[in-house]
Amino acid sequence: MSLLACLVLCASGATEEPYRSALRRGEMRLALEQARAQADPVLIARGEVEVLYFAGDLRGALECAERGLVLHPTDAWLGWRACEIAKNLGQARAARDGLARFLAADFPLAPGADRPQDAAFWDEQRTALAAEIAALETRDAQARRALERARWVTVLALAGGVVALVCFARVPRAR
Amino acid sequence: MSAASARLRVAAWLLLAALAGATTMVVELGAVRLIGPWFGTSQTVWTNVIGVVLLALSLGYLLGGRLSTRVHPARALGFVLLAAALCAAALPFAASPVARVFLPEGLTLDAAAGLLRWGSLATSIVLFLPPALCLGCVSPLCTEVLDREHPAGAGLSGGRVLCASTLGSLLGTFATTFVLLPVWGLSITFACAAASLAALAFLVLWGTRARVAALVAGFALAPAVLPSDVHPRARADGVLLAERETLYQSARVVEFDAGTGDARRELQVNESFDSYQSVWVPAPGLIGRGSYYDLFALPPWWAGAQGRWSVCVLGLCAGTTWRVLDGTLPPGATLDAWGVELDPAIVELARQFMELRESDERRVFAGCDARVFLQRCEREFDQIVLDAYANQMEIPAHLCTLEFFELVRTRLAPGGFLCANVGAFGLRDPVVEALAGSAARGLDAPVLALQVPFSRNVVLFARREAELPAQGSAAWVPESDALRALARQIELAPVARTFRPGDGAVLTDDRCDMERRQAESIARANPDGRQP
Repeated sequence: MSLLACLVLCASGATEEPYRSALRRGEMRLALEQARAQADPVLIARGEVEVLYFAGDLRGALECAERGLVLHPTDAWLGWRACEIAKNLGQARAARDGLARFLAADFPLAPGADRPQDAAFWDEQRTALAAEIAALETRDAQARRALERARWVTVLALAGGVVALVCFARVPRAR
Repeated sequence: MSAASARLRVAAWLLLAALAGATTMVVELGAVRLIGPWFGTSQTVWTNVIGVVLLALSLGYLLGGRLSTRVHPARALGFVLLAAALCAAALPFAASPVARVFLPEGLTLDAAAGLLRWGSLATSIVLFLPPALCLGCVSPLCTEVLDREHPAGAGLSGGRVLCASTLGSLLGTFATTFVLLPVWGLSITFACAAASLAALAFLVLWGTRARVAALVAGFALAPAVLPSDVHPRARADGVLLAERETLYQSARVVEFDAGTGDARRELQVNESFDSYQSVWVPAPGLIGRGSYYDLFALPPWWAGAQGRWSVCVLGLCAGTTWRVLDGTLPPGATLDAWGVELDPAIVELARQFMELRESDERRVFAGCDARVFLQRCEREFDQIVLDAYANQMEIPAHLCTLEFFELVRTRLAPGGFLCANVGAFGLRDPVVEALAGSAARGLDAPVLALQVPFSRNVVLFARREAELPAQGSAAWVPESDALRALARQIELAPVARTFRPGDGAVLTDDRCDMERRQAESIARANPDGRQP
C-alpha cells in the first residue's frame, strides 16, 4: 500500500472514532476492542480491517473485509480495502472482486469524505489499482502457462518413453 | 592380431565404457547444481533429476541394444558418443533459457513456489534426458563390439563392460563432488565431460573410417570453451556488488538506494524472487517493517537481560540477527554471540560487504552443520535463534524434528529462549503446526507462534523452564521505544497462537514430512488455483 493511501485510510474519516487515537498511539489491542465496541456494524467491520491492517496482519484484515462485504456488499470503503489488501497478498481473484465492488460503489467512500478533491483522488486510486491487478493477473497467467507447459512436457516424455520401450524392446528379425 | 594387441584393444573398449560411466555421473551430479539456481536442490529436485536420468539410461540401454545389431556397432558407438558430447557441451548454455520456459522471470516467491516441482521435472527432461539417453547406449554397444572382436560369450563381455562402467561411475561420482565442481565450477566441469566424450567419439569414428564425423567430433568441443552464464541475474532495481558460485548455491550481494537514508544491502541466493537471505542496513538495530529479525530482539527485554547475553544463531548467513541484537539490547547487557553457517562463501561475502566482524565475543563457525554443531558444543545459551533455510523456503529436515528440539533444550540455559523463523502463510499453516508442535514437545514448553507484521513469516518463541510473558502484559512491552511499537503490533490475539506440548504435529528423525507440508502450505496460499 502506498504511503499516500495509508494516510488517506486514516484521514478519510472526518469524525474521529475512538479506536483511531488508540491506533495512533500504537495500542493495537485497545484499538481493536474500541473498534468492536462501535454501534454500527459497517463501522465495526471497517475498524477491524483498519486495526488488523496496521498490526501487519494482512490475511486477518482481508478476512474481516470479506466478512464485512457479505453483510454490506455495497460498502465502497470495504471493497477498496479488500481490493488493496488482496493485491498486496498476491490474490488476484479476490483483488478483482474487491475492485468490482469499488468501481460499482458511490461516493462518499467514508463518513465525511465529501471534499471536492476526493472524487479525483478515488478515481486515481481505482485506475492505479486496476493497473496493478492487471499486472498481477498477467503474472498469474504466466505461472499457470508455465505449469501447463511443464505438465505437457512430462506427459509427452512419458508417452515417448513408453513408445520407445515398445519399439526398442522388440527383437529384430535377423542380425 | 597378436595376443598383446588384443588385450590392449579389450582394455581400450573397457576404458571407454568406464569414461562413459564417469561422464554419466558428472552429468547427473552436475545436473542438480545446474538447475539449482532456479529450482533449488531439495529432495524433490534430486528425485526428479535422478528419475529422468534413470528413465533415459533405461531407454538408452534398449536403443544401444538395438543399434548393436547393425553391421558396424563401433561406428554407431562413435556417433552416440558424439551426440552425448554435443548435448553435454550445450547444457550450461541451455540451462537458463530452458529454466525460464518453466519458471518465468518476475514471479514472487509464493507464485514461483508452486512451479518448482513440475518445472524442475520438465527442465530435467528437456536438459538431461538427451545426454543420459546417449550415454545409456554406450554399454550395450561396447559389449557388442567387445564380443564381436573377442567372442568369449555375451555374459562375459557384458559383465566386463558393466564392471568397467560402474567403476567409472564411482570415480565420476567422487571426482565431481570433491574435485571438479569445487575446483573448476560448473561450466568447466561440463566442458570437461563434453571434451572427454568428444575425444572418445573422435577416436572411435576415426578408427572406423568415419573421418568426416570424426572431424565433427573434434569441433564438438568448441562450444564448450565459450563462456557460459549459469547464474540467475540480480533484480534490475539493485546494484550488484559481488557474486559467488558457492558449494551450495549461487549467491550475490545487491545494494539498493545507496547513499540515501533507505540504503540497504541484501544477500540473495539462487533465483531469490522477491526474497533475500540476509539484509544489512547502515546502523545496527531494528530493520523495520516486515522484518522478522526484529522480533529476535524481544527476548533480552523479556528476560530483563543484564551483563553477558549469550546467543547462538543457527543459520547465521550474513549476521543480520547479530546486528539487530547489537543495536537493541537493554542497557547493561552485552552481546556474546556465536553463529553457525553451513556455507563458508556466504560468510566471506558477509565479511566483505555486510560488516560481519569476528572477535572473542563474536564467533563464526563457518562450514558447520547446525545440528552437528549443537551436538558438539557444550555451552548453554540465553537465546538460540533457528534461521536455517536453503533456497528461500526449504527447512532442512534434520533441523525440525523432535530429536533436534530435544537437543536444543539441552543447549539452552534455564530461562533461555528458542526463537525460530518459519516461512509460512498464517498460523494455521501446516509447516508452522509441525515445527511448533515438534518444538513444544522437544522443549517440553509452550511455543508462541507470532505472525510477523507485513510479512509471510512466522516467528516461534519458547522458553526453557520459564514462562513467556503474557501478550499485552506489562512484561510483554519493552521499555525501548522502538521495540514497544513492535510488541504492541504483535499483541493482538489474531496474530498469535500458542502450541502446548501435544498440540500440532510432531516430526521425528524417523518420520519428517516437511517437504509435503511445504507443498501443502504453498497450495493453500494460492487460492487462485496454482497448484504445486
